[in-house]
Amino acid sequence: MGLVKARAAGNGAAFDAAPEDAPRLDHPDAVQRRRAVQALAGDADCVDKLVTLLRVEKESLVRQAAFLLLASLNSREAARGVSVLLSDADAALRNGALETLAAMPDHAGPLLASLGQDEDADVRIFAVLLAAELQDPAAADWLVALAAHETDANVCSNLAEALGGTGRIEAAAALTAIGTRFAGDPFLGFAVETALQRLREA
Amino acid sequence: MATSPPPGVLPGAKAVRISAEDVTVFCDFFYKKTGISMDASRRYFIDRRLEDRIAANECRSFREYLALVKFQPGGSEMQALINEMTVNETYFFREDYQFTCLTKRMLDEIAVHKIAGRDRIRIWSAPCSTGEEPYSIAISILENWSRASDFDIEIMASDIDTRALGRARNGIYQARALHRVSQRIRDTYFRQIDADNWQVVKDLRDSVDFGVINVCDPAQMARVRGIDVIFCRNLLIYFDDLSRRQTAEHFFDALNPGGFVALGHSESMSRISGIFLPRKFPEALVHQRPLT
Ligand SMILES: C[S@@+](CC[C@H](N)C(=O)[O-])C[C@H]1O[C@@H](n2cnc3c(N)ncnc32)[C@H](O)[C@@H]1O
Repeated sequence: MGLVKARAAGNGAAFDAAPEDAPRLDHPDAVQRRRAVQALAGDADCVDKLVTLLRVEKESLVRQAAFLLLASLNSREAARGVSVLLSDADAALRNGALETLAAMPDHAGPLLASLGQDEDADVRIFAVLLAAELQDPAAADWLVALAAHETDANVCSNLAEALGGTGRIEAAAALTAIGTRFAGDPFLGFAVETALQRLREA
Repeated sequence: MATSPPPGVLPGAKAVRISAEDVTVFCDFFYKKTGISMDASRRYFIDRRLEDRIAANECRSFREYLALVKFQPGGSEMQALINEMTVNETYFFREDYQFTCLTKRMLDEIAVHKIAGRDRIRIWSAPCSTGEEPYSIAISILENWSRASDFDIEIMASDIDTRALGRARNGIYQARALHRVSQRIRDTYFRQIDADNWQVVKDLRDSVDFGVINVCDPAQMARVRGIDVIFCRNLLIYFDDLSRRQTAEHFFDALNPGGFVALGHSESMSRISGIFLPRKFPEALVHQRPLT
């Protein structure tokens, strides 16, 4: 007893664990499902399988592993697959999708155009949040363009906040346009004013 | 040093200069291999070390050198480069409140789920750099955990840097590296080998299992299982978000249910991953793999 050296002790040194077989994705135990998710790395249909799983998986442990694998793929296909989840009814899933897209900016940026045309205002809101996360000039251009015609008040309040963070002069005109479009809405008026203030300070 | 050639220049050789584009290519490559994210703000540090390695290999351009690093059988230049680029700073009993937490709280909790006289407890120092951390852990346990003799306790220690590991195995430290070590501890666990150097006694050196592990390499990490406590301090600060999350997931797998991770004081698991339970002990905040 006391301090012993693993390799000298012989029995199953922890640095030399034997490879484990991958369990099934529908295993009843979340820890095993998580391992099944990890084992998908390198699988040709990895993105499809992960997105399908994420639609039904409730355990955060498993979801996080799936999102992490998608983020590490850092591909156009992975970004597309994840973006579909932005319209899911589950808010935690949508947030996970947003975070994952933000982790692959090169592939998420090009999706903004189509997300901005989605009929579902919630998807457009997530697209705005994503653009704010990406913090690159193309995303800022896209925010300005969306602000020119967006008519949903909730999307516009998110747009106001995102535009305020761009530090762009063109954003001021887009913000003023939102203010005019919703002249009777005191909350939006306030959001626009705050964003303009931030731009002035930047 | 006044007579030595400028960095990157072999006597009589022409210096290879590194361009901004080379640095970007290099950082991207190095990140993929090690998880370490270096940015242009460290240009000076990167340029100097790269120029040194290019000169040492007598390469005529950065491209030629990169090809050598990528395709050399055995990968010894990749290893030399890693050894050059890592920051190995460490010292005995660094952030020792975590070792107090280990011997006052974590080990007792771990022991609840083990059978005395039969089960082993595994502690992993990743990264261990030049060895001060795993030796501090070993000494803390021997000195301060009353149940140390009830269990076989394995201390494993790993790093990506083979040169640091060599020094860790030798366990020879200059007197000033022992400034946080009391005289009693020094006299018990070290032996003076000359005026300025002390060596960790053989028994203690033999009780730590040192190995090369890149925590970003899934294949290497898949071989580490059954750990009860991981000390991962002052490593994740060099990683980007994605490598941090991946490392956290690997640690989860390496731990037994109920096992703990201790990070450095400036590192926050809550910002990295939600899969661990925060455990606030009086001495320290650590992160636990849930028991079920
Ligand atoms: C600043 S030292 C920390 C040592 C000790 N844990 C402490 O806190 O004092 C950081 C160490 O991390 C190692 N390292 C860097 N990237 C690594 C990786 N991907 N895998 C394993 N070790 C790594 C470096 O070689 C270096 O020795």
